[in-house]
Amino acid sequence: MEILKADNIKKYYQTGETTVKALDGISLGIQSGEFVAIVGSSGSGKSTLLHMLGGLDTPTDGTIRIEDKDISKMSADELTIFRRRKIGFVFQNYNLLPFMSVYKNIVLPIQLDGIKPDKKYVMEIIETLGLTEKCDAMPDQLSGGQQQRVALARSLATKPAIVLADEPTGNLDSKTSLDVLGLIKVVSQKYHQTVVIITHNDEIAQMAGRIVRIEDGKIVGGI
Amino acid sequence: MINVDNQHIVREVAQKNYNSNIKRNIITSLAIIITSFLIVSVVGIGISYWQMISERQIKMNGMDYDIELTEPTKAQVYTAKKMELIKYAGVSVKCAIVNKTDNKPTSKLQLYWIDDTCWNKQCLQALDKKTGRYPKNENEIMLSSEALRNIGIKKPTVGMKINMTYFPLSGNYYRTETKNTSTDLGCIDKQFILSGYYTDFTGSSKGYVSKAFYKTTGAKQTDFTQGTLKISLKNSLYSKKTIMKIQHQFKIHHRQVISEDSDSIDQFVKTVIVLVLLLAMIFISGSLFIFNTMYISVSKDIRLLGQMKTIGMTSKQLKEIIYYQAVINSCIGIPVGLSVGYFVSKKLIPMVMKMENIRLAGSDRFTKYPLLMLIAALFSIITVLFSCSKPAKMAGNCSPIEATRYQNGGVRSIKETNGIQGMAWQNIFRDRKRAVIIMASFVISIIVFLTVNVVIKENDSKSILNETWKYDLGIINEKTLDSDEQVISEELNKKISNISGVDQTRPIYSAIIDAPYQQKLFGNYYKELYLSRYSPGNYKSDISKYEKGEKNIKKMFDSKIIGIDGNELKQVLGDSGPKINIRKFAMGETAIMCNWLSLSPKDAVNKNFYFSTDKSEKQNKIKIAGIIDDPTKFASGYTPYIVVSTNKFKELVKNPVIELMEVDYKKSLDKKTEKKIKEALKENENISFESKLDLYNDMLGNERQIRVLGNGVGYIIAVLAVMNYVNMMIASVQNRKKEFATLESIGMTKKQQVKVLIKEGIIYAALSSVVAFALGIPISYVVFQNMNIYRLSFSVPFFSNAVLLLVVFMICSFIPVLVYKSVCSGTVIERMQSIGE
Repeated sequence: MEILKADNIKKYYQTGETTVKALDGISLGIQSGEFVAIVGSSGSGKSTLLHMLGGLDTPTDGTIRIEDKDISKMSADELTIFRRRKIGFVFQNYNLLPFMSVYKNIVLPIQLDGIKPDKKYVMEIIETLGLTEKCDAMPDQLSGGQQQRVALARSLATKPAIVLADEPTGNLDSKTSLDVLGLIKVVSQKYHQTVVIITHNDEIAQMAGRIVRIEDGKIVGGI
Repeated sequence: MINVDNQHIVREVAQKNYNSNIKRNIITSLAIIITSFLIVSVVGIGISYWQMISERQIKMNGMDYDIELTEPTKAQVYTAKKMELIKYAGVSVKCAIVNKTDNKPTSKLQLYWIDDTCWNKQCLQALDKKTGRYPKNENEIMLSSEALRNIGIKKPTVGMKINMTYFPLSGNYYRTETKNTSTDLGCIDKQFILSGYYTDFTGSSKGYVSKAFYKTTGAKQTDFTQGTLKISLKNSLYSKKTIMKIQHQFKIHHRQVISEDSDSIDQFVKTVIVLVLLLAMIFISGSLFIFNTMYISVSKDIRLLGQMKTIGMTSKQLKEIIYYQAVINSCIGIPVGLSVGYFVSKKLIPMVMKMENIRLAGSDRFTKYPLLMLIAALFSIITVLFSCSKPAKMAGNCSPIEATRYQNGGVRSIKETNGIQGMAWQNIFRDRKRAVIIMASFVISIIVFLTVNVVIKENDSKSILNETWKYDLGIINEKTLDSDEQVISEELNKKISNISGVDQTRPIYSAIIDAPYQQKLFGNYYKELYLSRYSPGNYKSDISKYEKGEKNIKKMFDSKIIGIDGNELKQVLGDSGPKINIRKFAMGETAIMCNWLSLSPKDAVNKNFYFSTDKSEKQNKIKIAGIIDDPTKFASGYTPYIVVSTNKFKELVKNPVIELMEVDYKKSLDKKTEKKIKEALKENENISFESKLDLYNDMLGNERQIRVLGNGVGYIIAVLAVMNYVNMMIASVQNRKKEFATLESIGMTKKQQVKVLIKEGIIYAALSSVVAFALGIPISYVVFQNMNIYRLSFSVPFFSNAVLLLVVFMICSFIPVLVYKSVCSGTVIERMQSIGE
């Protein structure tokens, strides 16, 4: 089942008289449970693509459908709610809220939906990601790898349709990077979780089920 | 070490950093502008306001002097004029009383002669308006507006002729000013020429005459109770020691006294404490405002500064960058703030006054603006430098890596809470120090506003008049001393009561009564009377004659019975009056005695008073329940008067005469009602009025000035409190811009974020209001009491406080939302990736 379908996405910026084509007609389909890596050099447009897929930015043209819903036609708040329920994000710099504990950070998207977190499920994720001991810790008391694991737990807590990870190992050393990637792969398999990951590291990309290569805003291979 | 010239590059970095954070720097400059403006405008207008209040107080006193010596001799006047401690000494002598004008009875219009010093140095500044000049010729007279009203002259003109009947106060008038005797003195008819007229705020019916006229009356400055020497001291804050020194040099004789206001130093100290407190609060509020904004601003730069440190910038250079930017902000903020403050207090307020047609621009009174502006500028720059000293030190001292990891806003976690409510609470207190500063600043602004409002209300003429006047209109029976004529009849009372707009009338009946010598009740009182300066003669011989019932002496010790109704009883007892059994009083079982000298309740209460009415032989007795002040207008003999219920009075006195009728309006100072009453009484020549409205009208011009200045200060403080909060919220939301974007990225809608902000605002408002009111009401009470020269009763201004609360809640809930909407625009990713701002 195709969980995400992007059709002819374009993102153009106007800088002075020059038009920068960050994305230039990308079409992409991702199946449920797939672990996809999008690779490309710096400035290739891979992060822009991920932002478009996650509704953090809006394309100049084209449509994106997640679970058959066209997110490019949603209002800002509709999109946020959709993101909360259907998309999990993992950022390179973790983006944890520094004034909330680990547990609080993880369950915040669920609470924002006005529902009580499924504690059993959340604790299972926490355990899977090796964070049980750190539940009450504050983000600044954690290492980079631990913080990224918290970000991963947060993205999984809402049982989203798709997890989008933007260079999740960009701030980590190679060993920690492989640990985190390993965990992403484990949860992807354990929960049949669709994961799209952005990286410029081929070694990391090799851990994915499918690799999509992007250059100058266009897919150049691996579809 | 090689000296490297890198100043220009440090400056360049500072300038570039300044330019790239322009929004933030506008906020900082705005904080400096507001604080400088606050000090200049509030202090400038505040001082003008205070001067106006002080002037009004002098006008309410009728003359500007510190102490007075009664019955001064010429030698004493001479000594006073030579005395080192004394600035001015002016003589004033009451020399005649007008009792008829154009053959119509005139309510005690007292005529005074005052010397040049008294007129020029002590009297003129106490006049609100003056037309014409002080009388020079023997037939010239100058009258107060109250006197003109009393004699029915509505449109006075200088040079107009006024026919008056007066009796000169030659000899010892005091002893003979009792019922049925005043007219026995030789009255003189005379045509006066009005040389001038004036308005002060004393509400007294008074006139000034020439020295030539004064000489004809035979009155002397040494006559008992008529002559006084008004003394203005070089230092108005005098002590008991100063008075003793002056007293010693005057060599005063036994009947003379120096009357002084023994509370003057106390009152001055109290007022100074209050003003210093208010000023301190204004300064603290301003400094917290700058401190918070500067602190946020510099703290935001610490990460960047850490980066600079990693590339080789020294701690000293980093500090230079911080201070450079602070100085630029001060260079913009301080001059703008000072100019706006100067413009508002020196130009805008006088302009408003001009538009309102108010004469005498009050704000012109305060002239030391250069000094004030210098103080405000110094204060602002010191606060700015102090505010960035801590973050500058932090940036300079911490390691580059620590600086790049610096997390502004703190990382405290409060106990785990659920939902938006908990998040709002958590947001406020995650940086406790900042929350305290924001709240303290807001709380102080509210307290200043509350306190200033109380001071303004306390100094409002209406409040003062409502408190110091028992009634709206007093209708006085001018025939009281002469006959038992029913000038104010029961029908008239009913007629006035029925006028729409009249709330109640309180007729006060009076009659002269015989009081036999009563050793048990008045023994101590008579002794004190004869020892006082009001002593009527020789104690032993007088009292022995009184005991024997000798007619002449017995008459001197006449008393008076006063009949009052339940409403008047409530008035005279008030909150601080004696606690008496109202039922027994109404039933006529008890009476209340009027106080004179120091009649002690211990001597009088629960003792019987014996008297006879209507010159009959039948002796009555009534138990005394308490002591109050005399509510009537005319005097009788030396024995204290008694007050009984109207029913009892009518039972005891055959022909009950109303001496005074007090009228209260449904709406205080109601012009229409007063007009209707005066219309209804216009044919009645034997009555006179004491009108609160007339005095208020005299004070109106001054009152409007006071109100414009007072409200000016109040509104400026209110507007600044709002701007203070708005600026802090802009800084706060700006600071959290990235955080909001992160929250949005993980699914928090803008609506939810707005909700959080509204809840934060409400929590801020609730906490600020609770603290501000909890502290503000007691503080405003202390301020009120310390400035309470008119002995007004304190009341919390509920309506204005409710409005204030509403405004506080509205501001606190809406402002952050508006700020959020303007700051958090653009896509989530743009905001997440934004740096700096």
